[in-house]
Amino acid sequence: MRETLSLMWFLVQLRVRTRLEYRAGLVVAWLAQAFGYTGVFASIWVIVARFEHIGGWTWPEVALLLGFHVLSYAIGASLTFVQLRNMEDQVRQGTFDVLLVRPINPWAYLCFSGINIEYGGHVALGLVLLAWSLPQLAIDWSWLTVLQLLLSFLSSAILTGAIITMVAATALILGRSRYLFGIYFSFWELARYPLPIFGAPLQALLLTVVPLGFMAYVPVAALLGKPVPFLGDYAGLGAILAGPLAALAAIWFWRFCLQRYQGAGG
Amino acid sequence: MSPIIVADHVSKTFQQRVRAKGTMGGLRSFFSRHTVPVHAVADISFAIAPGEAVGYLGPNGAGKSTMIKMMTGILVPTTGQVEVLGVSPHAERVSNARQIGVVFGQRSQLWWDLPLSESFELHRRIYRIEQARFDHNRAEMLAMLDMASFIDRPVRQLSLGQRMRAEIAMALMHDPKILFLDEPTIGLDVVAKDAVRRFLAQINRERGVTIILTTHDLQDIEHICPRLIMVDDGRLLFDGPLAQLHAAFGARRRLTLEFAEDPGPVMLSGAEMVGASPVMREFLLPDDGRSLVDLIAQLGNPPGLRDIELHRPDIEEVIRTHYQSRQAS
Amino acid sequence: MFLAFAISAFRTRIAYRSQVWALLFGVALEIFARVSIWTAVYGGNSVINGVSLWQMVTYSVLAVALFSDWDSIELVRDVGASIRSGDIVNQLLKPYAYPASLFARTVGSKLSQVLLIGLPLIAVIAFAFGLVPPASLGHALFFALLCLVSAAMIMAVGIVFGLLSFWVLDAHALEWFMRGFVAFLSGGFVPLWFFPPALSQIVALLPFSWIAYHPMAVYLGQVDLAGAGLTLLGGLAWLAVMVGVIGWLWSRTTGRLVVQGG
Repeated sequence: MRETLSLMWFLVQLRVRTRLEYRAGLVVAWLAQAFGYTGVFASIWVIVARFEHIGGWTWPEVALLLGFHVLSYAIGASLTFVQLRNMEDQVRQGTFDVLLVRPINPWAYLCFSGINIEYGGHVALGLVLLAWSLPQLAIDWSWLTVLQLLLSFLSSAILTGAIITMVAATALILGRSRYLFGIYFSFWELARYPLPIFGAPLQALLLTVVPLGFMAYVPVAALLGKPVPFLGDYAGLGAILAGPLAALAAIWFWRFCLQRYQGAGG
Repeated sequence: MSPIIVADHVSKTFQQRVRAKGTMGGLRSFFSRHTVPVHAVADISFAIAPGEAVGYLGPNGAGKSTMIKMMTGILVPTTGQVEVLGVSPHAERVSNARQIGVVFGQRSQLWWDLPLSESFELHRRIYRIEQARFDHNRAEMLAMLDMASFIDRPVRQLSLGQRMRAEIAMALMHDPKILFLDEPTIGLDVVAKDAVRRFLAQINRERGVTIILTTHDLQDIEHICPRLIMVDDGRLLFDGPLAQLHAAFGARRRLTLEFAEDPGPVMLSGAEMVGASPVMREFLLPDDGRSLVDLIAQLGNPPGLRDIELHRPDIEEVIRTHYQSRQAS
Repeated sequence: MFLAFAISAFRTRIAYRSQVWALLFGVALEIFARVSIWTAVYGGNSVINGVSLWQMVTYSVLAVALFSDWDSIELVRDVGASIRSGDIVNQLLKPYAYPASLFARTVGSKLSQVLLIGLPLIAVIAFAFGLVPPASLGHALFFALLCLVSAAMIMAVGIVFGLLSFWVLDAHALEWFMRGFVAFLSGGFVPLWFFPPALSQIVALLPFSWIAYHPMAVYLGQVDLAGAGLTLLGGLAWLAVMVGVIGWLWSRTTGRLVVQGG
């Protein structure tokens, strides 16, 4: 186990070293992506500025939601997205098979060896939004709330990684995952907004089959004491458990798909 | 000595999706879908003893890669069993992976942007090779494959020949018992191919590393593998020493006779006349042991015989003829 | 030649039915999200800024179905890839201009998108829920023309940013910068009449607003026919500028490629 961890750490180092060879583009990439998100967030700001709130959420609250969303996504995606999104290509071209003939865990190798440090813009933007909005909001700060914030944030990042893993795993049995990723990102956009503005059916969907409601809304609403559909008082607990539970599901599903892959062939 | 690799009535069938062509076909596929079974490997059996070097030959789509994938644990046979070092490579994927080395000709395991030495170091950690053994093996490989000049260069700056040498060296770093190579000489220039072949032959003969090599290039086999397994359409066609290939395929020799003037009818028992011009006669005859001397004697004494040529087809021709007759049928 | 490119792009798009279904789903979901947002934001009010909720719903449906920025993103990626792979050098050897061929291909894929996804969705929604019709026949005609302007504009923006990747920054960064601009300035999400007044006046003059805002403003009758005519002229003027910029950028790019020896 210790050797595996040290191998993963070595992979991360190799990857970061490789990426820093092209240092100049990195900061620009961060700025560009932050700019892209800012364009979208600015549009949302225009709405809240004009109407004073969306679904009962004021601008600082919406800013917190947006910041939480982009920051937790960035952390979860840095370990999974770019590494796994072209899974269907890796399967088709046989580069995935190369991983199977070595005494390593293919998922871990892929994810750690490709760890993505280009999310700097996301992280900066998220932190700015969080830092700006949190002080303005009426949150009953205590050690417990701080812990809740940190744990639910971590859980949200894990949730992102888990969902991306599951979507990519479908490439092992279907030969395609690109379209599913497209659908994931469609729902991912919905997760930026206060859940109650969508009808009950969609709310239920976003809390069960496509648990992206737990990505930002449930943890932030729990923190702010806003109503959470279906979960009510258990929202805080739900926010903290969502990630680990999704991770368990992802581990199972990945193994299942890998077994099918080896049985059915790419 | 028990065999190190056993394939026992192994078959592998895939379901292939069929897609229609053209704009209208594209729209039609919109509303229907069907799959056809593809028998990539059909009932193949063989046993390989430790220390053997075996060439696995066949045209594209013959099922070579599929067989290698089953032997390295990537795929599971649909029916039948594969055993490597006594266990199922699929069931014991990780522990099996520690004992084997795999080189994919067209899929590199090297880190593109970093010096070659980093890829070696990564390999050491993946396979958990102790430092002393690693240093010793590394030094040896560098010497045998003449890599000292580029060990510190980024992989992207290396030529294909250098990269292939590095891949093979790396695959042997952890002293595997079996080395699998999937088209290792593809795309290499003549000098690089020669270096790779000589090296592989050397480590097989001197260190007893079992080698399984898939290839299109017969010279790879001639230089490295005394034994040849040939497959086509998923089926086993031939398994045995290279030397017996001609007999197995009923390959025929070509006898060409040149005359000063038209000799009239020329007869030769057990031979088929395939070409004739006023001053030339051509025969095909089986590999029946008759030497050129015997044949001249059996011809009698045709008038004006000026020159004789007896041509024995090389492996390429044998196989090409076989493929052509397969396509014709 | 143009037709050949367009047709082949069209064909590629419909080749994978799962791709079309997935896109359809994504677009439908986006429309649903927008409608939910506007419904929530309007609260109980039926008219805000002289625009009713149903008009906003119509705005959202049409903007998402017809004026998506996907084509510009694809263009930037294509150009970036072609520069990275060196393939762009081959483009110098061909008889048609590279930007023109890019345009042709995008037309094919945009058309497939509109025909297979955009229009069917609009039809279904109009039939099931009802949509606000154009303010008048004249407005409808101007709208149709402005749709063409919008398509041309999104492609022009994509080509400009794509070509810039040869000179400054890389295609990936430029793509994100472009998305930032388009997201905020196109009016595809939030119509300009909700913007703070000073800001809205500036944005209305920038070329990006012809991608979604101006066509929709004309459709809903937010401007009279004379205004619509002016809007069309403004759009055409900006297109002319963009074409000029593209031509200039391309000639500078080919010059540089030749000097570098490819």
